Amino acid sequence: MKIHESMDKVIETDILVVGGAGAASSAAIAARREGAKVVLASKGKLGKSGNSIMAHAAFSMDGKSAYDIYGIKEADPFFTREKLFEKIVKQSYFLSDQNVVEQFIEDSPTVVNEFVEWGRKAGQNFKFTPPCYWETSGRSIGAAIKKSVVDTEGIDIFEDVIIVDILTHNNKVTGAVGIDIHSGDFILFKAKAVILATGGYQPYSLKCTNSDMTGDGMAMAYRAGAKLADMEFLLFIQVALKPQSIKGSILPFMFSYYGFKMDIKDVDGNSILDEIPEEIKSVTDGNGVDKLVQTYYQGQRIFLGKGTPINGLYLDFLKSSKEELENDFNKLIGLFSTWHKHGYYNGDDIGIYKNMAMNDEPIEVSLGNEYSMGGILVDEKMQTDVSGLFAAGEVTSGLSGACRVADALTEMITQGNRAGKSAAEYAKYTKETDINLEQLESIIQRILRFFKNIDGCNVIEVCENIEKAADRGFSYCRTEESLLQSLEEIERIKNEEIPNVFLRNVTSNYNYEWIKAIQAENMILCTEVGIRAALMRKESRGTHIRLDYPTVDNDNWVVRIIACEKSGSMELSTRKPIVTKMQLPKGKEGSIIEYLLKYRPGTGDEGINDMELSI
Amino acid sequence: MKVKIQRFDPFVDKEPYFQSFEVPIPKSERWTVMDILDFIVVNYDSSISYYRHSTCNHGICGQCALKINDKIHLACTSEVRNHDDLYIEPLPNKKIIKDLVTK
Repeated sequence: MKIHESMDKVIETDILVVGGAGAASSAAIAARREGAKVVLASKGKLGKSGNSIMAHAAFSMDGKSAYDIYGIKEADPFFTREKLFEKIVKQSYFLSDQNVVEQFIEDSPTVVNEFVEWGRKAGQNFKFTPPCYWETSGRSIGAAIKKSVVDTEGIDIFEDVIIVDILTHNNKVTGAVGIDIHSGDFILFKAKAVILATGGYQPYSLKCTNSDMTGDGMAMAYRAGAKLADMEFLLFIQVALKPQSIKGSILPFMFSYYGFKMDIKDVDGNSILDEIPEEIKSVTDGNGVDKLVQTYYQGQRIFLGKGTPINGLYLDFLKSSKEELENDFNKLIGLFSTWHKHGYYNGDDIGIYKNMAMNDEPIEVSLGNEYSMGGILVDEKMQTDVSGLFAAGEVTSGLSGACRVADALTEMITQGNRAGKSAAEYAKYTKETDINLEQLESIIQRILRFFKNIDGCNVIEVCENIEKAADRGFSYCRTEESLLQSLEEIERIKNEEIPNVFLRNVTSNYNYEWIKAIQAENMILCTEVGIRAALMRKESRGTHIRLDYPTVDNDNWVVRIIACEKSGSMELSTRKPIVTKMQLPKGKEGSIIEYLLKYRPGTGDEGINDMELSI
Repeated sequence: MKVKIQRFDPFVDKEPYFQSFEVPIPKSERWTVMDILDFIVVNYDSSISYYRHSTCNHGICGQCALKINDKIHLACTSEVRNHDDLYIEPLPNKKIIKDLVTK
């Protein structure tokens, strides 16, 4: 008996894992080990999609665990779990849910250790670097991910399948609907539990991320009745603008990370790096908080009109001697040849920038979107508000609050592992529930309606318009006026363009326009939540930088902004972050920079002594 | 530059055919074949299909491999300034799903 005439295939399982990278693989394996039937559905190729492969990859455990438990003598045993906890919470601007941070810290050593093993089995080079992290390439991470799933018996893998909605009945998961992107076939997945491991949302035109990061999981969770939180916090990183062939590359970030003597200048030739107070260097450690500090100083300069016509700045190496430059480039090329073709970082030719550097030619760079701190609200078991719906990795919120300093790669595998265990336990005691046919019908109608128009908007252009709307006023620097402009644009696209989307491609086999339209609705939803939360938060905190409210207001705003659907409308509310060890602060700091100087890890009432991280 | 792209929808067309476009790109801009395809779908014909829904654009995932002027290249790292015209076809010896998408 066919469940619905539109469903070309029906797959029955205990747990459906949605995603194709670290969180999905970890979740699928953990669930399978508990004896559950597991299906994994990835929008792209397993281990070759999502943001994991885009990283210049570092993942870690705390130094003491690496030293004591795993006998790694190069690890720094003074970098303890307590210190990592403090760093994550303080540099989240106290918006982390501390129970989620505890899960991350307690579970990561075992999960990370096993992931290193998978890397070895996949023949990849994971290089241990003090104090406690493994350095590798994104592609190597992907290879380890694929090996781990393929080698775990009994996980059914579906690639190039986009899950379009979760099915529920009485607030309980019953499965999901997917589309085989190549054939256009509808697939009904009947499952007791669904784990969303679909990554982040990056709404801007400039980013260093994969093309599949369209906030699908967040939007589906919202539509299913789960909550989203912290959507106003997005992380930016230094990326290349020119030449076009390497636009979006994080090579410019690498120059800073690997200690090249360089400067970032505005369009008038004024240095931005010279403006950064010396004392902030004692807080930055080459990673998480560095990105925020650069965003703060560079972002404002661009926002106030001192960028190039394409919102760029100029990176130059005039502070460096030619011998130092030659050495630095050779060292970098040497290091990267561990994982990449010699002279290259992935497909990006490092020689292009080396030549420009040696000829004193400035490189046009800017701030690109790297990661979204916000996402689905989960507890320390990776459970959402909907029974049977779990989430893990970048799609979740709660670990990193207003600014991420914990590794995203460690987050994905550690949370994925927990989600898999939680979902398997849930599935054990859950009876299968019938599909709500009315709900299924309404999902199908929503997805197929794009084929109805015989004229109208080019959906590829609509997606570019969404990016422009986000760029306009929801970017690294915000004001009330800029945010309202972005919101107005997003609403206009939602109400006027989306209903008029016309698919020039009339058949459903690899209909990219159709897939783009489905994704556009998800992206619009995520961006709208983010903008509304940014408007509501009348202060600055972490990556949410409001030029009209520059103060970090711990008297009123140490709260998370939560969004959910109530009777068809978007409702925003607030709640305090969950506290386990560190009390929430009071008082106001003049800026996000002053906050960082005051709340630096290793100081304060927590009884942790001053320390220098050896990163 | 003149860009010829092989089209074929197995559900609609009897056999593959070619569509030509004249794309105004200054060679100094260092565009890639992926940039050209992206430009064409926004400005000329949004129905042209190539594997794009999950792509890294930096030579990592390998999903954009195409036959470009008779040689196999990754579209996202293949710069067009090295060519006068572009002749883009799907990978050979694979089943065509639509246009440049194969499986």
